[in-house]
Amino acid sequence: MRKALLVFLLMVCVDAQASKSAFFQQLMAAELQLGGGSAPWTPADLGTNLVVWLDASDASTITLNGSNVTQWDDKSGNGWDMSQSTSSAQPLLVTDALNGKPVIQTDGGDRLDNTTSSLFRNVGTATWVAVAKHPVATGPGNAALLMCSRGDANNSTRFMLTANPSPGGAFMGVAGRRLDIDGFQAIASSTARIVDTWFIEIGQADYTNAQANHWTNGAQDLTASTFQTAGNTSDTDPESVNVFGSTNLLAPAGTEIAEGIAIEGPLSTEDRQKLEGYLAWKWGLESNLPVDHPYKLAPPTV
Amino acid sequence: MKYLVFNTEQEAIDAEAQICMDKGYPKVGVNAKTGLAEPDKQLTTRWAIPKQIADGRWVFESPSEEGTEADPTWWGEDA
Repeated sequence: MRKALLVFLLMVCVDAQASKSAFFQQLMAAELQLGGGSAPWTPADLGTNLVVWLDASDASTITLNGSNVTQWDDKSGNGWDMSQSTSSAQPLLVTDALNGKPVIQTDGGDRLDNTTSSLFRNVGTATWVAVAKHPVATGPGNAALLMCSRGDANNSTRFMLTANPSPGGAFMGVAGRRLDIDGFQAIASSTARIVDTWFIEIGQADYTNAQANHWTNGAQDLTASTFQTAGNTSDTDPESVNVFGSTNLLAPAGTEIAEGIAIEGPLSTEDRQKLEGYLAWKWGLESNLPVDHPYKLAPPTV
Repeated sequence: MKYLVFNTEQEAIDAEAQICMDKGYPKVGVNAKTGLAEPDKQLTTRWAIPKQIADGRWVFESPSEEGTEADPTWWGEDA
């Protein structure tokens, strides 16, 4: 009955010649879901381009000191786990926080680090993805959600997804540099933070084309063709990779992250939309997606 | 978050070491799903790392409500 209704809706859509492409994709996604014969799409389906995958809903990947997180294991297969041995800098695991699932929260001085990865080394495209909540609408400048340092300084950025690129005021965005010797550059998106509201954020440094991109809740809100210079990043391992930033770039108290992902290499529109759909449905944020998003009505499947 | 402030690095190191002793560090973490100890993963080894601030004094995060609120001028800027 439900499939018949979907087919009827599809015919109406085709006859009306209105928004065929987007609506068709939504119907196909919904039909696949209702058919029940397909497996859910996950970031693992990105293949080797997936290089870090942190999932707060997977308790088996989290090690605790009381309620503090001492280690958040990377599910990508690279083993680039994030950890913190200093108690006062360990973030908090908040249970039943978003769609019944736990998330990780900073008190403003917390961070999880990995100092042994080769993240975003000698790559043409770097992408950070986060499901995050911001506690304040403005400041501090260049506060990081997810950060990869450059090769010669652990508190200096190669590429970060930032809550507040400076200058930029209250807007989300990206920041960093291509080569270790290059100057730092921050670019704001057109989406302002809303206090205590969850967002699906994707920030991308397309170093190959000297371009920066940002998408919020499935809609692109930044395309900057003046980001750094064209080429690959430095062929050096980052000094550190951080959840909630580094020494002078820490996310403010109350910032929460539910899921964090790093991707190296090109990210197709199709894969980006699947990623957005996966995150939206997993964390109960599907209402955030635009009405014409291909996974507005159902999560992606394989 | 409040900070404890010291005039010298040694004073800060000694104070932080006493806190670590009181808290029984190093401490083995437990898995959030199973509740079982995970000795092969990240240990909690210390309370805080003393940092020197712009005026030359040393600070670290207070384990209680005692202490001083951080002054933004304490930290340098490096993006």
